Amino acid sequence: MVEDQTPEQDNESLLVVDNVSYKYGSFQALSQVTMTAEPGQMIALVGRNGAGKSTLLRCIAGWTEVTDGTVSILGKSIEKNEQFVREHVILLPDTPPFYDELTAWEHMQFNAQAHGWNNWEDEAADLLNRYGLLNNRDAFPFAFSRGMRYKLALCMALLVEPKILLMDEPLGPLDPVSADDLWEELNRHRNDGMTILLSSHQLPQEAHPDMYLIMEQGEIIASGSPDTLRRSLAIDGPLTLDALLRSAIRARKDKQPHDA
Amino acid sequence: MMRDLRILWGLRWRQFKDDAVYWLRVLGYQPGEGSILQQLYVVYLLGIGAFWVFAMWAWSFDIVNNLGSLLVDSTPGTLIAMLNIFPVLVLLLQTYVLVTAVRSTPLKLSFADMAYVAGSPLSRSAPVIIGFARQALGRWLILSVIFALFAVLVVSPLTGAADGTTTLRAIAVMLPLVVITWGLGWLLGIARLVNPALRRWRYLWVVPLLILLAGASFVPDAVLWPGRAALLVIYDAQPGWLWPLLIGLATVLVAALIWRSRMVNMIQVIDESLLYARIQKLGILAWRQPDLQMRIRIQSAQAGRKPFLRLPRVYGWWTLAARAALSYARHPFMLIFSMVWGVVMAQASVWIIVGQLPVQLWIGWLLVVGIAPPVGLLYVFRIDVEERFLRQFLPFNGFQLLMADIILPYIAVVIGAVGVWLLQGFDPAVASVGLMFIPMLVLLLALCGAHATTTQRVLQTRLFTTGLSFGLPMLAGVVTGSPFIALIVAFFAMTTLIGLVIQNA
Repeated sequence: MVEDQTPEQDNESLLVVDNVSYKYGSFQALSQVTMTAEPGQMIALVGRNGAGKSTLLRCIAGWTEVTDGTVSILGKSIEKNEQFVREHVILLPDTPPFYDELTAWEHMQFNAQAHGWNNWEDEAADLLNRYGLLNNRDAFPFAFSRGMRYKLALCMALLVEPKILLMDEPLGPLDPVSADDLWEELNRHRNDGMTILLSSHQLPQEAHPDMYLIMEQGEIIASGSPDTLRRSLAIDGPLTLDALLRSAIRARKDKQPHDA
Repeated sequence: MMRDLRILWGLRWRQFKDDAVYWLRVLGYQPGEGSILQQLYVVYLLGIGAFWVFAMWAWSFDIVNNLGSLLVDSTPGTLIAMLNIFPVLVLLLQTYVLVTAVRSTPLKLSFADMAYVAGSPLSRSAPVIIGFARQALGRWLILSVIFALFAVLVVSPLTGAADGTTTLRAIAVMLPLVVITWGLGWLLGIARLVNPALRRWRYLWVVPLLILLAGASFVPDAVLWPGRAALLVIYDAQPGWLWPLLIGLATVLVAALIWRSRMVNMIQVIDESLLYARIQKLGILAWRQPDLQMRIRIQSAQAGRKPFLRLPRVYGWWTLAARAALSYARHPFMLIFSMVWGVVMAQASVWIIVGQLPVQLWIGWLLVVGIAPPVGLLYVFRIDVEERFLRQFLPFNGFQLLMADIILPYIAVVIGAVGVWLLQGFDPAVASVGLMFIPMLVLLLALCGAHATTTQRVLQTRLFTTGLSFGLPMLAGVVTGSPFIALIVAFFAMTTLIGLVIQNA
């Protein structure tokens, strides 16, 4: 790793990923990944296709059982506390599925009522309105476009207000206006203490994650705050994802002969 | 026209060969190598396949022949009932064919066909003729095998044992009957596609339904004749004019179809083929994951409708139950299928028990239960568990989910099965054993399916757990002669499965 700025592992941290490895058959998708996240942090996972970003998110959400290592939320291992994880972590995949029989509004209603909440309607209507879905509230999500489906999934997640929101390629399905709105929304939730971990190939200019995790071939090859990475990777121009990724890969290659 | 037919036939033949190669590749054939060894391997596979088909046919023929002999010795009334009900079953099949052909275009196009066939300057008759020929041939192959076995079953009681000529007569008569049935269906379907006024009439499909069902009540001879004609042929008792009539009718219908097909509205055909094309695009997945196919059908049916009923304002676990109820209310056929499944399986078990039929039939019954449980029973639960994104919004354990999701279909299966059991007129002791066991067995069935849903190998797990959790109580009951011991074993299996569902779902 180029320069690991990951805080010391602390059992009190909101999220601790400790030496997590995962194999798909003989393919090593994740290799001894270690990271932590604190409340109100926004972390961007950056990497090429197949670098292991989505797998890492799935492991954190408990959707995929890790081959080695542990993931804990508030000190509790996710393996033994599935229900606890469901209460605090929501993962938004890039193509979320929905119930065929429920309308958009009924999805919101179902989630709220399943959690036993009484006064959820205003918040739900506000969320749907913010993402331009209020007029389609009585339509079935399978008839929505990909972007609309992603927005509905986002509304469902934000209604639940998890402690940790994991987003896989959130900007892929969204139009530019919705992408800007999403960042505004995410920043608001970050300020309220929600931890956001997202994987992306593109970020709007106004997006300022607290930390980047740069992944390559299942490993975290560089991590840290934007300023730290700018220094350690010697990036002169604007701190784009492209620059980050290329510099981190180059630094890793430079370092490998010394290791050998 | 003949040139167009040749072109399209060539295209279909290539598609057929590509499909065949695809399936052969699944079995290890490597077409890229082009070696003699690979060619020999194909011959070997085809030989094995032919041998398997022949062996299965011989085995089925023998079983059905023996069952037919039993009909005369033990229950001659059953034979008469079967002969009476056969023409009605044929009528129901014909009604189904006509209704489906009128509801939506009988000519179905894949996405590739939409681009390269419908959009080409080919004669419109060509895809209709080829499509009809393919469908009629496929249906004939399936129905002739079923009817040949039925013929052996009903002919052997009167002749001692049915021979090959019975099956040949059955296969032969099925050909004109299939052409007449599907020919009439296609002709009506094509007439709707040709005529905009007919197309606008949304409930046109009700007309053949009403005509045929009313005909069966008031003038049965006019509508039940195809089934009766088939029976006359298999008993070799047909009048001399029957064959010319069947062949003549089939020819006239095909000629009329060719004539009308020149005016088919291809835009309408494309519009009505979208669902078929989506399913066809799934390829092997459509067979391996019938649920996926079913979901596409449900979505298609629902897309144009307004939501029926509303999700009620209830909280916690009750909202799960309400959502499941709403799902079933919006797709009531899931409940109907569940109830019919309960009726069929209970009736089958009654036949085995009352007829004291061999234990192999119990094993067969158990296999059917394991391989093909009622599709509606776990319809909602499966989506809850399999879709991890949706699962993370549900703060409940797997057993709580299962209980909420299966209430309605569980009741439907139990009502169907208990209803059949009570209608048998058993004495109170036997009737009460059924009342004790049926609800528990249906719950066990749901638990086996639920546990299998949470594992990688769904079918194998379901078969194994169903075999074990149904088989052990049966065995315990037979060995000890006490239904209560069997109940205790079933209860033990149930608690084990509940633990597994809580842990894994």
